Amino acid sequence: MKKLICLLLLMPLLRITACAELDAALYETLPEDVREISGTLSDAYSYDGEGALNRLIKAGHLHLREAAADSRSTALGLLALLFLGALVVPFCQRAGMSELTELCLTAAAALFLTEGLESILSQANAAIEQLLDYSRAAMPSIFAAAAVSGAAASSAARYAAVSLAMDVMMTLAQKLIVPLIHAQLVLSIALGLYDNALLQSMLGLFRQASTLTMTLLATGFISFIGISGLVCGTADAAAVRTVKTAISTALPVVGGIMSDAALAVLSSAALLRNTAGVFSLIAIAALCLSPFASLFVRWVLFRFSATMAGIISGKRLGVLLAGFGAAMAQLMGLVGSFSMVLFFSIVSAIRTVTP
Amino acid sequence: MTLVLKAAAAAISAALIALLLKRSNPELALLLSVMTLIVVSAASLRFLDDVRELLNLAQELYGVSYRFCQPIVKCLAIAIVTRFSSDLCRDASQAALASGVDFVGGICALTVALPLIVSVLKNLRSML
Repeated sequence: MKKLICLLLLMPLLRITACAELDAALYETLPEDVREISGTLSDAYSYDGEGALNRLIKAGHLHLREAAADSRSTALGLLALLFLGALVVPFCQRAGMSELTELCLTAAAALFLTEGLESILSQANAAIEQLLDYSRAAMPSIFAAAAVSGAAASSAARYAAVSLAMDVMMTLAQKLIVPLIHAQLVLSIALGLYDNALLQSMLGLFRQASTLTMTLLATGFISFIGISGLVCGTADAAAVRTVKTAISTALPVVGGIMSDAALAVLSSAALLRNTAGVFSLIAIAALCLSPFASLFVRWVLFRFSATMAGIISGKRLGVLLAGFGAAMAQLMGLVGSFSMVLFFSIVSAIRTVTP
Repeated sequence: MTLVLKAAAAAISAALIALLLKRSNPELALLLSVMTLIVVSAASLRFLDDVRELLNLAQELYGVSYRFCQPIVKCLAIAIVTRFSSDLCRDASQAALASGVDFVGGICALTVALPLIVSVLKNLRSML
């Protein structure tokens, strides 16, 4: 009986140790620059979420400024081509050669943009790879820590579900979504050079296909995690309820007190879950900050240039730039989907800590 | 501004004289038109240096390589020459020749644009 009481008294300590391990797993797998933004999670109860948010906003400003400086040469080059087009096209219009000159201008702009395109695409790919690396490094530790907290069945099932879903998402992103975005860029250039209804339809189809795939992947992943969590979580919750009832019935007088103490520990675990959740949200946002800022600046640049080109340099260049802007938006969506999936994976792991 | 005024004065004077000459000697009237056009165009050629400087500046400050701008400027030059030539042919009541000049101008502009288009196609191929 004494052993049982000792064991029951030690259970909250085990849970707290598990929570600490989970925090360490969340923190230690982050890159150094992200740790500076997210701050430490050593003392979960006093995690400075507001300070981390301020650091995140400051870092966001910095990344935006850096991205703007990086894309300055692209912006200036586009501006020069736009003004050249605005000067040349009206001249050639009177000679009946505006179509050819616009074609020339669009080809020049396409050539100018495709030279820097690889770096943008590789940046987005690198962001996804970084998120996956973080996921691969952090997930085993996070779920192992969650398993120590007592939810062995659900954490194992969730880990399997998360790993499978992440692998499926990565494969689909690499084999389907990124090629679809490439195809959209190619079609935008082709449409700029040669206005054709079939090309326009194909571009629309590819755009819808990639958007739909991303939406389905994100929704499917969350549903999958939700369903697997629901099934396993119900089993764990039932087990905890049985233990609580067992404590209360086995210990007639102390049982109620023990049960209340257990509830206090569990509520502190809920508090820990909240802080860990905030921490992981900030950490993932910090991970995605740099590529997001870069893609956002490019998107704004292309949208603005497309509007200007439509007004001053002719329709073809406007179509080309609008297509590039839409592709940047798709890349942002892809990075966003991955970050959301990663966040939900971590939240799923954190949820297993609480009963 | 001064150049425009001078060019306008020369062109109007030449047009009036050509109108007078056209009844008795249409060849001379046409020749007068051609000569006036050449003189007026030659006077504006000195602005080409400014355009070249602008392109160099675009290359230095904006990072736009000359190979992007060159075909566009060439297209502009082809368009101007084609327009002048075809208008002169039409003045001489030679519509077929004017059409021929237009056609050649179009082909030349396309030829100028071709290297850019080929480069774009190569880039597209590498992207896919």
